[in-house]
Amino acid sequence: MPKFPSAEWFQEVRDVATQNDGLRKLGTCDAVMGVKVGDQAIELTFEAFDLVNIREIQPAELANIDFYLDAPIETWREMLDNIKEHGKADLKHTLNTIDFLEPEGFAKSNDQSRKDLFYRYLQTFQRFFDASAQVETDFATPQPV
Amino acid sequence: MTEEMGTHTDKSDIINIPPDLWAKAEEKRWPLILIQQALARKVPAAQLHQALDSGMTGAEAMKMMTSRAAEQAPPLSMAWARVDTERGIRAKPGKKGLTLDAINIGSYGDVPEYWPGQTMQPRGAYLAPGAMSMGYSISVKAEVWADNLGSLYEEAIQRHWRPATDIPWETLSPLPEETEQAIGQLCTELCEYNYMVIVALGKWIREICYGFHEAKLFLSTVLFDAGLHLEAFRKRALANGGGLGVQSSGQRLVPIRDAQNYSEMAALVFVLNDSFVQSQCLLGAGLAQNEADARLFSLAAQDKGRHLAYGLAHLRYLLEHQPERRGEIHKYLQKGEEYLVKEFEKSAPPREALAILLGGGIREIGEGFRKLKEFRRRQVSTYLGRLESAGLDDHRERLWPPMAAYLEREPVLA
Repeated sequence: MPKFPSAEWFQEVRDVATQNDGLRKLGTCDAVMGVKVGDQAIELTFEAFDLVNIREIQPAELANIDFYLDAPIETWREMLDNIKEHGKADLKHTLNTIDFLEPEGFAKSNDQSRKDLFYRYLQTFQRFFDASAQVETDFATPQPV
Repeated sequence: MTEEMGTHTDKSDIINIPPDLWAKAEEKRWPLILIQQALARKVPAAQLHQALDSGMTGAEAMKMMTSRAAEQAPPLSMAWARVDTERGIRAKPGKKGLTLDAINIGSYGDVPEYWPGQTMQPRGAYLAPGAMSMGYSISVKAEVWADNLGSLYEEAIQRHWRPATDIPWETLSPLPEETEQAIGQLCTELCEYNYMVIVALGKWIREICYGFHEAKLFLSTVLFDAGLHLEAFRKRALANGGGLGVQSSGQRLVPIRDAQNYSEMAALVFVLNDSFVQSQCLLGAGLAQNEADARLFSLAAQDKGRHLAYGLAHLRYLLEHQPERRGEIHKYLQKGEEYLVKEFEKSAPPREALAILLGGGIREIGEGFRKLKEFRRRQVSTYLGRLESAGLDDHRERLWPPMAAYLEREPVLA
């Protein structure tokens, strides 16, 4: 069972998300998205109709990518548990809702136009995380920041 | 006999075939049209009698005539195929298929800084002498260009959606009356804004010369999106027991209508107003109480993301190539900000509708107004972030003061 967050976990989600042209049906998506959980960071490169590269990076490297989703492990866990329970995020646990309700937002970037990619491809990223409903997840112990 | 002759004469008048030749053709089962065509080509009747008597079938005669017709065709000049355009181009599809950017190769990929042509000459085609002038007024690349035009066009085509079937309308369920009315009000204003985008773009797209076809193509998708959003928000207002609300004062639309050049319109629509409209869509999605609203507003926000991407890239390109216009752009934006704030402050319907949605109902209207302040703060902050990203990083101190005042309020959204 892959741990969240890890490259292995995201690879499994990617494999589910791209089945039956799952991402292709939503159209092209070009963005480098980061995921930050505590002191762990993952870089996900979306290109055309696929997630073409997944790698673990240092949190400092997040400054170089388009944007990253940043939340405490508890928020991530609640979102992913909700997706698991319902097969996809319910209305209170979509990426957009979390971003809208968080005072500092969920998506972060040093550059607003690069952060805008999060909003431009919302449906693709949501479909991607919704695919995690079909992946068994082991949540890593939160690391002190 | 007279009557028979008369009949023959009548038919011959129509198809112009002498009666004896007519009779023989029918006897030999030749199509009469063949006889008529032969006579029209001045083949003597005697020669046709001879052919009919020779035992040649109608099909053989037809084949022979077709062959002779080809021999008689005028010679081909093929001059049109020898014009000085670049030939032998073989564009290759990539991961996204055969895209606009993929065919911008060789001379076809050269987009000049100035396009003198006034005709509909496709870029790279040979200019026909005497082609009709269409009177385009936008011939300078910097006035409309953005380096992401080709990819944004492809993305618009790939990611388009259909309001009738892509929104799960069946998930709409009764909402508290005030909440439904607030959504109807939001939809009313979004319909109105999209009317304005259609009017503004319709006016300017026709002014762009064909040397910059990527701009024409992408802007056509924006025009389509505006129609689609208008359709979708109108449907939403009329689908769940609510209805449309009151028309806005239209303050924010005045500068767009009055824009004196394309760059002014683009700054007002694709940078200022779209920035605020997108955040309204994100609010609609973020606070949605059913799947239909979540999907509808989220898809609209995606489209706005594409329009903003063009607006910011165009602004960046314009500032790089015509830096002398920096002050002018500041003024356009200030004017738009002034009118936008007037609408925010003087128009009760949008203010109250947003407060109801943010507060979660009319009972929490006080909380709703507090959250609206924070919402405005985030809208302005995001807008400034976009300007900085596009190279207009000195706009913060030029921000229309009443709009700048939104930034000073304490965040309370939580």
